[in-house]
Amino acid sequence: MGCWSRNRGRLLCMLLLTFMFMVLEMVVSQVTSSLAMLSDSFHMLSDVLALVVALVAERFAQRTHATQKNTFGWIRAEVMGALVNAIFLTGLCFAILLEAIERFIEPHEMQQPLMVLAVGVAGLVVNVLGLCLFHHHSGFGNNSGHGHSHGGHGHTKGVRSKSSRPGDSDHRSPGGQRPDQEETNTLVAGSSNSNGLKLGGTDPEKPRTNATDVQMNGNVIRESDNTDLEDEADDAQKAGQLNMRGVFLHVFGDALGSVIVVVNALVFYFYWDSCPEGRFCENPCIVDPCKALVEIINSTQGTVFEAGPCWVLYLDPTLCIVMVCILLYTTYPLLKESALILLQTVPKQIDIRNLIKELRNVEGVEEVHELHVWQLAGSRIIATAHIKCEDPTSYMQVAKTIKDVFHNHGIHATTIQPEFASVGSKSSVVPCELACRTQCALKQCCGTRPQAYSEKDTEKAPTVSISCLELSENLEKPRTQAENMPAVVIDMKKMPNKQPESSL
Amino acid sequence: MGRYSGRSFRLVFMCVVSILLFVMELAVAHIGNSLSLASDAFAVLSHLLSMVIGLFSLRASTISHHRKSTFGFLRADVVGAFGNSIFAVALMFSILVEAIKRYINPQKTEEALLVLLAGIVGLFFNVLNYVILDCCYCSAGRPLEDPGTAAHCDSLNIQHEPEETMRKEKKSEALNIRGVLLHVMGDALGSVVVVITATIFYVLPLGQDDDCNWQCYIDPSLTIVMVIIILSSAFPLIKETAIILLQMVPKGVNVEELMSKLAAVPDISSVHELHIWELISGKIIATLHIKYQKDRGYQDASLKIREIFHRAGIHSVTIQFEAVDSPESLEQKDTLSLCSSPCISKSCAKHLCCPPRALPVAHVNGCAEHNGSPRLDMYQSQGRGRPELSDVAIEVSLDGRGSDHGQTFTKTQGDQCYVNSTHF
Repeated sequence: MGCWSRNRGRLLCMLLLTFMFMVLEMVVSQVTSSLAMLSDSFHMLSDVLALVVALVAERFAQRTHATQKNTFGWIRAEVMGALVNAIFLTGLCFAILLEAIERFIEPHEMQQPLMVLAVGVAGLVVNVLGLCLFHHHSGFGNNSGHGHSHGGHGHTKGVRSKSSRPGDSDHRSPGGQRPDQEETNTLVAGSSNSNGLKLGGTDPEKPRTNATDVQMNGNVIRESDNTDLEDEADDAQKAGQLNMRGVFLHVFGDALGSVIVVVNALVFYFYWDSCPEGRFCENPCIVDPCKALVEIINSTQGTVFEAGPCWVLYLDPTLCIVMVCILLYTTYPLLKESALILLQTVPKQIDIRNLIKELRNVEGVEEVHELHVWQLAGSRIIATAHIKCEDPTSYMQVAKTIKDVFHNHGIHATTIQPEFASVGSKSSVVPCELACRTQCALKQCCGTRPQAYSEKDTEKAPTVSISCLELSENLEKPRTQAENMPAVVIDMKKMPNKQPESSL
Repeated sequence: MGRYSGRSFRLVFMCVVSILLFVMELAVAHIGNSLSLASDAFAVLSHLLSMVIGLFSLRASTISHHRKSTFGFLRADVVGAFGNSIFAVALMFSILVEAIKRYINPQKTEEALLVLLAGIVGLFFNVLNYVILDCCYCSAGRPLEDPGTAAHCDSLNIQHEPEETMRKEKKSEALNIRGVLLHVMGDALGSVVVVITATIFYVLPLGQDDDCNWQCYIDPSLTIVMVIIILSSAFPLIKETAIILLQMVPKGVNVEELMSKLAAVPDISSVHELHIWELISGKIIATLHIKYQKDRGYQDASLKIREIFHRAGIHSVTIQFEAVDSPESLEQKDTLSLCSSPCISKSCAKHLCCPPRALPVAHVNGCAEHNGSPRLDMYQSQGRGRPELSDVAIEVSLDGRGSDHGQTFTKTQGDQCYVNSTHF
C-alpha cells in the first residue's frame, strides 16, 4: 500500500462505499417498488462513474515521465478528468432539473416515508464520510492551487545552501535576493561560477576540466533534498488537485441530494395525511378526472377524506431546483479553470506583460518574440521564447539572466532560442530569423501578423515575400563554423516591409 | 451569400429556432399536461446548450492573439468538441437510465396520434438541423491556401503541402461541428424512436385496462439501440480530441525516426527535452534542447534540424542550444544527457515539465515510480569520483564513442520509460 498515493486510496475507498450503497438502494427499491429510490440509485451510479473517471485520471497522471506517445508524460490527464467530471455534473444537474419540472407538473406522493428516511440517512452518512475524505481538496479553503509557493521554498533552500557552502563563488548575490544564482548552471565560458558544488559539502568543487561550461543542475546541493521530499509530495498533491476538486464536487452534490431526501421524508412523515386504506378519498393536489364524481359522492355520503396539504408535494421539486442552482454555482469555477488550462492560456498567476517587460530590459536582449507561456498541469508551467540578441559571445550571460527572470515568475521549464540580429536592423519589429519556410507560415502555431487576420480564416497569413530559409542562409553563410568570432553579417534584406512578429 | 452561409451564422440560426421550439413545447406541455412533451422540450434545451458551446468555441477559435493566451484561443474548437461529446455521453447515460426504468416499469404510450405528430415535427426539425449544419458545410469548400508561394520556395516536396493543409483544416473544423452534430443525431434518432413507437401504438392500440404486452417494450429497446449508436460515434470523437488535449505526439509523427534523423546531423552531441505536441490539428509544435560543441558552432546544425522537422510536418520549432565546451568533457557521458541550462536551481526540479526520472526523492516514498536507485548505484559503482548526479536525464544510447557505462546504462534502463534524451 505504500506505493499508492493517498488520493488513490481515498478514491478507492469512496468508490467501494458508493458502489455498495448503490446496490443496497437498488435492492430496497425493488422490495418497496419505489421508483424514487431506483432513480436515486442511478444517481449513485453516476457518482460511481465519476469516481472511476477520477481514479483513471489519477492513475494516468502519476506517470509524469516522457513516453513514446506523449513527450510530456500523462500528467495532463488529471485536468481532463476534472473537466469530464465537471461536465458530467452539469449533465446530471440538467437531468435533475428535468425531473423536478416533471414533478411540478405531476406531483408524486411519497410512499413509505419511513423507509425512504432510513435509506436517506444512510446515504447521508456515506456522503458525509466522503466529504471528510476529500474536504481538503474542496477548493473553498485556502488551497492556492497551482501556487507560486515554490518561491518560498526555493529561495530558502538557496539561502541554506549558500551558507553551508565553502565560499568559492564570485557571484554571491547580496541579501539573498537571488540566492539561486549560485546554483545556476553557468553557460558563461570560463566563469568561476561555483556550481560545482556537491553533496553535503564533501567535495567543495567539482573537478573541472578546461571547460567550466558544463555544469549540471544535478550538482546542486544534496542537503536541500530533505526539504525537497516534502515539496515533492506537496507538488504531486497540487498537481492532482483539480481532479480531486471534481470528485469533491460530485460527493458534495450527492450529499445535498441526500439532505433533500431526508428533509423531504421527514416533512412527509409528519405533515402529510395520506389517504387511508379502503376509504374513499381524493387528492386535491393532483388533477383528477374523477373530481366530478367526487362532488356527487360528497353530496350523498358523509365525509370524504382529503389527502394532506398540497405544499408538501411541491417541496421536493423546489428543493431539487435549489440544489441544482448550488451545484451549478460551485461547478462553474472548476469547469472554467480546467477549460482554461486545456486552452493553453497563460496561467493566472503569471503577469505576462510584466514578464515581457523584464525580458526586454535584460541587457543584450533586443527583442522577444514567439513567447508562449502555458500550464501543463498543477504547478508545471512551460515557456518558449525566441530572443533576439545582439552579440553571440555574450549570449551565455544573457541566457542565464533570462532564465533567472523566468524563474522569478515561477516558470521553470523553458526553451529559449537565441537569434542574432543582423546588422542594420534597427526596428524592433523584425520577423523571426529562423522561421520555417514561407509557405509554412500557415502551419506555424501562431502566424506572423496579429492585425491582418480576417474573421473567418485565421490560418491565412499574409505571405512573406522571400523565403525565410533564404534569409537565414544569407545570415549564416559568413559565419564559419570553426570560429567563434562575433558575427557581423551584412544582411541582404529583401523584405520591403517589416511585419510585426511579436504576438503580444 | 458569404455572410449567410458561414458556420457561425448557421449555428446562430439553429439556436434561435431551438429556443422558439423549446418555448413552444414547454407551453404546450403545460397546457396539455403532457409529460413527454416536457421531456422533449428539455431535449431541445440540451441541444441548444450544445449549439451554444459549439458557437462559442467557433467564435473563440478565430482569436489567434489575446493577452490572456499566447496561443490565442485556437484550441477552443477542440475543447468545445470534447465538452460536447462528454455532454452527449452524459445525456445518453441518463436516457439509458430512463430506458431501464421503462423495462422495469413498462408504460403504454397514450394519445398515440398526438405523440406521433410531435415526433414527426421533432424529426423534421432535426433533419433540417443536420442538413444545415452538415451538408451546406460539406459543399462549400475551403478556399485554397496560397498556391503561389509554393513556387518561390525550396524544392522539398512542396507540391503536396497545400492539399495537405486543406485536408487538415477541414478535419479540424469538422471536430467542432462534429460535436454539435452528435447531439443533433441523438435527437433525430430519438424522434425516430418516438415515431416508430407511436405508429405501433396507433395501429395496434392498447386499451386503458390492457396490460402491457410486447408493444410496451419496443420503446426502451429502440432507445437502447439508439444509445449504442450514439456512443459508438461519440467515442472516436472523444479519442481524437483527447489526443490533442493530452499533448500527445500527433499521429503522423514518428518520434523514433525523428530522433534517428537528428542523430545524423553533424556537430550536435546530444538531444534532450524533446517535446512534440499538437496545438490544433495541422499545427504541430516542437521544442528541444541540443548540446553542441562550443568550438564548432551551431548554425549549420540549426538549419538541418529545422529541415528535418519541416519534412516531418512540424513547422514551429524552438531549439535551445547548449554549448559543451570541448571534446574532453564529452567523456563525462552523463553530463551530456543533462540539460546544462534548466531552471536555475534544483528546487525547481519538481516544477519542470517532465522531471527526469531518477530523482532521489523517490526513495522516501518507497515508490518505484520515479525510480532513481539503480542509476545512482551504477554511478557509485563506476567510482569515477564524479559528483553524484541526481537529475539525470533518462535513457542514454551511445554511438561508437560510448564507453561501457553507457551500454550497461541502456540495458538496465531499457525497459523503463522512453528516451527523452539521446546521446549521439
